[in-house]
Amino acid sequence: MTKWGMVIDLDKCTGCQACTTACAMENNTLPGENWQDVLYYSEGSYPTAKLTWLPRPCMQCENPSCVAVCPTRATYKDMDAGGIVFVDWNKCIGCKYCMIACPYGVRFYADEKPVVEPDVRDVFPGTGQLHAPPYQGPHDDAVRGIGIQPKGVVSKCTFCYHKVSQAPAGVADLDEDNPETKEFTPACVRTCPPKARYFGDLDNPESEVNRLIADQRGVRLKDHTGNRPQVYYLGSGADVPAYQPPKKS
Amino acid sequence: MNESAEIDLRQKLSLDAMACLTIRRPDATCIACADACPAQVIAIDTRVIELDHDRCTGCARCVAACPTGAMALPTSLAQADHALTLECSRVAQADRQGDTQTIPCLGGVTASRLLEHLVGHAQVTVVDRGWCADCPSGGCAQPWADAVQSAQADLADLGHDAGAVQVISVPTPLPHAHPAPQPRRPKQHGYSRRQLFQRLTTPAPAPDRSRVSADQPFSGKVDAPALAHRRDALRALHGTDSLPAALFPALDCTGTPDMRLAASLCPTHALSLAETPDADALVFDAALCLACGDCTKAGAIRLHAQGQGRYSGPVTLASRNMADCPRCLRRFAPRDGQQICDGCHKDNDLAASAFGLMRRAQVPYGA
Repeated sequence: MTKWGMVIDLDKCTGCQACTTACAMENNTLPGENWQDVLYYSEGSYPTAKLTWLPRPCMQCENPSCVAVCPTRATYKDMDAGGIVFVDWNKCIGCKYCMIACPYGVRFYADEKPVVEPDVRDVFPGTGQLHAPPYQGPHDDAVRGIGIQPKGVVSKCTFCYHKVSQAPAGVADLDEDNPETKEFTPACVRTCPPKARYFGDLDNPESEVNRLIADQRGVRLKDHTGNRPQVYYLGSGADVPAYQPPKKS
Repeated sequence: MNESAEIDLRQKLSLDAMACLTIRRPDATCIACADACPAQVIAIDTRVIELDHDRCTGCARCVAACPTGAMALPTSLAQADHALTLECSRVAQADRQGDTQTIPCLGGVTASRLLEHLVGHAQVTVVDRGWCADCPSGGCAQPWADAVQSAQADLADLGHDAGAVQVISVPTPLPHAHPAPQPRRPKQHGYSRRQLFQRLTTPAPAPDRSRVSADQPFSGKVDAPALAHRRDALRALHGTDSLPAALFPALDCTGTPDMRLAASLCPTHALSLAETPDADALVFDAALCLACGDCTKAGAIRLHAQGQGRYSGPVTLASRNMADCPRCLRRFAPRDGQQICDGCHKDNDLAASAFGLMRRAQVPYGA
């Protein structure tokens, strides 16, 4: 079974936020909701201050803590869709429990409607049953949290499921440089200028993502929470922490 | 006979959607106007109120019943001068008690109207003619009872003589009265032969109805002109801005409530959140409180039917220090010494743990 995973190489990432912009445009996110963000992190103080950055999509955890806390079962992990965690906008009541439960802070809730942009539905009013009115993408799916977000629900990264799901079955990697898989690659991966992101099937032993994780010792963030993300990070020195036997007392 | 035309039914009942609880608030269950109406003029649907002007008799009892003062009937406001005696307009001129003001129905008078009449007068009298139970506008023996009792209670709280509003009973035989106000187009049950053929040749007049709904429901607070009116009437009567707090409901805090939630649960402007750069304050204006108790859902707030001490304007119920997060610029309530908001702290923590992993010394394979 497919298990979609992402690999982000922190040595290549330049912190340009192109992925953030591409994601916002691809998914019509509300202002303030960055399903994909690059966190800027500064440490130290004046003579030795250092600024670094960390791209952060939803980790699509294997054991997501957000799913466990949802009172309406609106958020769920779909094993048939490559193990992606979705929010069912028809069920979500906006209680924000999942936002607190998520250790990675990748779930979003916007109280307000967009203030700058006009409502597309007013600009292009559809009459009757149009096949695909401009505001309604052909892959709109409220059950998976894809499309124009209604008010009062939590939203999150879908790994661009509307693109990924169109990929041919059994494909190992979705690579923007491969013309056959280019269209099915998630927006952030496809747009990354230094090609710091890789996307593929973690269950396929032949996939590029598996090779990268093995060769360059990919790590998952906050593994101690037991969430087991499907997003791996590479970087010089990245490594699975060494096993330390518990101290005998 | 023609004197009863004082009730001008062309003056239609109107409803201010912005002041109506049922239209504006998703959680409101107020049906006071429909309950008070003796002619079933008002139909309440989900956030829509339908007024059937054909059946309205112009009694204005809905105007008196509305807790926020959303209903208005122009005839009920017609007021030549502040008369001392209120009479039903069905009373013939010969039977009236001297200097009187006639209103379409004595049930259409509100307590604050009675108090307003008292300013500059020693006494206001409502004349009970004993026929209200049989009147199509009345429907009950004493339609004014609520307003009179409420006005008397207010006077007692103010320390004035509660007898200043009194009801006198002057039973008058019904044949002396003008005919009862009739709806313009009463509901018909069946037709006479002539009417039937008339209906066939001339089209039936369109029913005169209006549906009132708000363009944008749930948008903020409901105006409550009736409550502000009552406060102003009490102040005018008492002569000072400082009133006994027993006239109004009161709230007290047992801890720190969720102030934003409490302010947004309040349907009127009674509870509001005052934001200053350093602190948020929950401000309470007792005079605008409907005593609905919605704010108690925010926790740590208790509602009392009557306050203690004096009321002279809005007071601060609770306050909390606030700060702007220097990173995301959102306002948050800092716990002791907290510099950035919880969300930014989570982001920082994640990045710190990520770079901690990246910088650790590599473990050789097979270790």
